[in-house]
Amino acid sequence: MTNLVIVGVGGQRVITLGNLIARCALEAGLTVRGHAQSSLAVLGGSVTYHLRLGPSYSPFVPHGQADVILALELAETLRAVPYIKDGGLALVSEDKKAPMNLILSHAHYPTPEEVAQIYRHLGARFILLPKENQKTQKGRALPEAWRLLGVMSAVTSFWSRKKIEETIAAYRPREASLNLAAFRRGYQLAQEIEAKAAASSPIEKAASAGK
Amino acid sequence: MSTSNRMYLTGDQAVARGALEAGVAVATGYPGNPSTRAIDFLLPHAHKGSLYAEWSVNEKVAVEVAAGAAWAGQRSLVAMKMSGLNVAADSLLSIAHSGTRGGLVIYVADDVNAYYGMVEQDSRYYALMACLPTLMPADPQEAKDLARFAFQLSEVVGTPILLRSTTNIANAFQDVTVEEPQALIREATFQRQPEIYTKAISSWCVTQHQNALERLSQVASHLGPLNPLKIAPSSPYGVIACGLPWQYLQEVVSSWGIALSTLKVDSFSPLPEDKIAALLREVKDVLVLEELEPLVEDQTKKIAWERGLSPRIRGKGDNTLPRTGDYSLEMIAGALGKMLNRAPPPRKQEEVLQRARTLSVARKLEFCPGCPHRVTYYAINQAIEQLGLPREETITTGDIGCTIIGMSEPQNTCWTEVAMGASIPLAQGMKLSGIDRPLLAAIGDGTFYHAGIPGLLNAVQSGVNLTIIVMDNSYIAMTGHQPHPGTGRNPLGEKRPTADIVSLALACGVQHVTPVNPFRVTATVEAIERAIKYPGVAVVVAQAECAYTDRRFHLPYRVKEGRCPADKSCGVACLYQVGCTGVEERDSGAVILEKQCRGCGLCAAACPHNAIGRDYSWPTVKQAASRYWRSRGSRTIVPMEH
Ligand SMILES: Cc1ncc(C[n+]2csc(CCOP(=O)(O)OP(=O)(O)O)c2C)c(N)n1
Ligand code: SF4
Repeated sequence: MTNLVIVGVGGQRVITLGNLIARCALEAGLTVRGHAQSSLAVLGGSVTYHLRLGPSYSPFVPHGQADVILALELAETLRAVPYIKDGGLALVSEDKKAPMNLILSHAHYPTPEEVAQIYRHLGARFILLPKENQKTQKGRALPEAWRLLGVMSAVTSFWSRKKIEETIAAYRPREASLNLAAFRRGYQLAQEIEAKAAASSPIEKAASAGK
Repeated sequence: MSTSNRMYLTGDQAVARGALEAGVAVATGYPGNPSTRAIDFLLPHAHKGSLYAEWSVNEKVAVEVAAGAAWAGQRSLVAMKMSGLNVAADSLLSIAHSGTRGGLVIYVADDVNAYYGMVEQDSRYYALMACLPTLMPADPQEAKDLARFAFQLSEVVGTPILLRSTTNIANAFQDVTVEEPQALIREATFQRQPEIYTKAISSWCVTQHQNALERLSQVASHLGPLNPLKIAPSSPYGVIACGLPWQYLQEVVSSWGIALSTLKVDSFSPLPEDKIAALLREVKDVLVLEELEPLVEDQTKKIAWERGLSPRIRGKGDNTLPRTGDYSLEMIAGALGKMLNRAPPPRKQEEVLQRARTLSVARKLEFCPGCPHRVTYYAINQAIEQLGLPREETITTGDIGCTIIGMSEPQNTCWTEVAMGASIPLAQGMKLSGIDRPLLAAIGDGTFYHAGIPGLLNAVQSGVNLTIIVMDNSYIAMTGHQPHPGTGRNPLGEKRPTADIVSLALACGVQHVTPVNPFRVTATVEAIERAIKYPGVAVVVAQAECAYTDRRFHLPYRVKEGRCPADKSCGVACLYQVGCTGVEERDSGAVILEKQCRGCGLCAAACPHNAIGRDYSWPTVKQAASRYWRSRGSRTIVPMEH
């Protein structure tokens, strides 16, 4: 039984990512339940996707039982806190989408360190993915959702890398090359993070903190 | 997404899939979360011949079209959110009393916890009011199975069936086991039977009511394996559960490894009374799990009283569980633990969780960058100010849709939101009450077609002085950009006649109607000022396509070199008066994020220093446009001056 919670905001493809992970699991013969809640805002509202891979009854991950949190937006990572398991993994994008109400009221937007601390307190491993401005030859930015998936597949062992790549290619054939490029970059990045974990640059500190 | 006979579906989509398997011929609906994906799911199938699917103009029309098809012998589905059922209620009750020939299934999703911001309501009351048999799925698999079954049941008994779901089931995913869709080839016929299909004579109406009740009791004998009852002889405890709480219960029971007697209620109407009694006989203590109103719970108490049974009945009556908001796994575990005297698990790290809550960022609704509504509200505010009216005393009633984002900062324009179309009559009433300051009503195009026109007719006839701003962005945007009668195409992309809002307003008797392009800010402000000054009902139609659907190339604005003074004496109007995430405040002044900018130009209009513009050289424009085309495949440039 594997539980995942994916969070982000409208327009970041949280639901597409969740559906792709579900498909990987379905093809591996698992039963899947999930739940995706988005807000009324067409862009910029919170989106949460729960995924339960393996036999379950509730579409929601029980509190304290998420093996992995995938966060496409930094502040949204906080919404997933109740779900993280002791010893779980939080993979967090550095992307910030401050809502207009926060900008207008000059309210505080959480720092990566504040978010990381909370996860570490709960015994989770927190990996913050540094922003990279890599682009494809056509000048298109790599979609963050697939980069995150690449990192997850390197850090966890749910499915083989090949299996996920095949699923990505079949899922949205028109975007396959872009999505695969992002996935591979994420995979590579995770390897870099893991490899450098012994030395102590800021990223690795975050990566190796917790259990 | 499917592997062999399994499909990964949401609860909404599963209803649609069940309808396909049952051979549905006509599917109608009105968009509204969380029910929208049912019709969305069917539309691609409507290309293939035996199915017709539409977004109707409102829910009442949707129910009537579906009933017409069913009365002529076809199977039909109609889908809506709970607010829509209120709109459709008059016809719903009438049709329920008449009954049906072809299978008629009404799918309604209650937004428990009001995630999508309307009245939180329990639509099961309609089941009681309309004598409507009502089924309640607990997960997508059941949504599919019950939808399919509902069509058979509907035809066997001759009654419409209400299929009632909730947000968290509609939004749940599951790998659903599916069967082949079928196409029923039926000849449509309809026989004249006024005693069934009209309400012309009071005795017919009473007979129809009796017949509806009779059909309801017949349904009870056709429910087969539904409402499963499981008695655990060793346990004095029992649970009666319906909908999603049943799934939570299963999760808790399996993780605790306990045994208790359970009844799962699949049919809310008619209720499985004998099974409820059978459970009550076996237990000393029973917990009823249902979200919103304690309807099953109260019936359980009634059954216990009638049959002289006296187990303790827990639920909402004893405040074990709330009557508002949705349940969660954790709440169900808590309620069950209380009954079983199980100590709750230690709440670990409560301070850490609290800190996460404090730090987390609330997100209010906001307009997309480039949204024409933002510009229209800016123009309304400008017009009010330029006429010397106090902003904080000038009422603008709001309506449903993305247009209501005009109540948020920094626009703060809308004062009210009631139900689709209510903006105009509310404003009329306020006028009649004696508010003599100018009063505005702001309404979206989809909402105008749905329920806005009667209010407009009414306002014109009353002779009040009112300014109505119709924001025509070509779509029902907020629910996912469904087409409406003004879009010019049906949801399959086929050309359809357009119902022009300007002509409609004129036909309603409005004497002062002005179409404007809201992106021409000055002209829009002037048009609104003239409308406010006009003595009588005046309508301004702001026509510009929704920025989300608009795939044309828009040249981004930028801050002119050295023109934005870093002293910020203007209060950074381009950000704080406009409220667009495409503008960023830096120490050096404002910056426009090229990737976000959709070229609406409102920041430029708001800047008192004239520091924002689009003075590009033609080769730069061409280059930017071709880059855009390559990434998007769009071929139209919007003229620079817009
Ligand atoms: C009776 C009823 N049906 C459906 C809905 C769901 N709903 C919420 S927003 C919205 C869109 C309104 O569209 P429009 O007036 O065109 O405004 P836009 O979003 O395009 O600005 C709808 C249909 C509702 N709230 N009430
Ligand atoms: S979806 Fe369209 S109407 Fe709604 S906020 Fe975005 S641009 Fe405006």
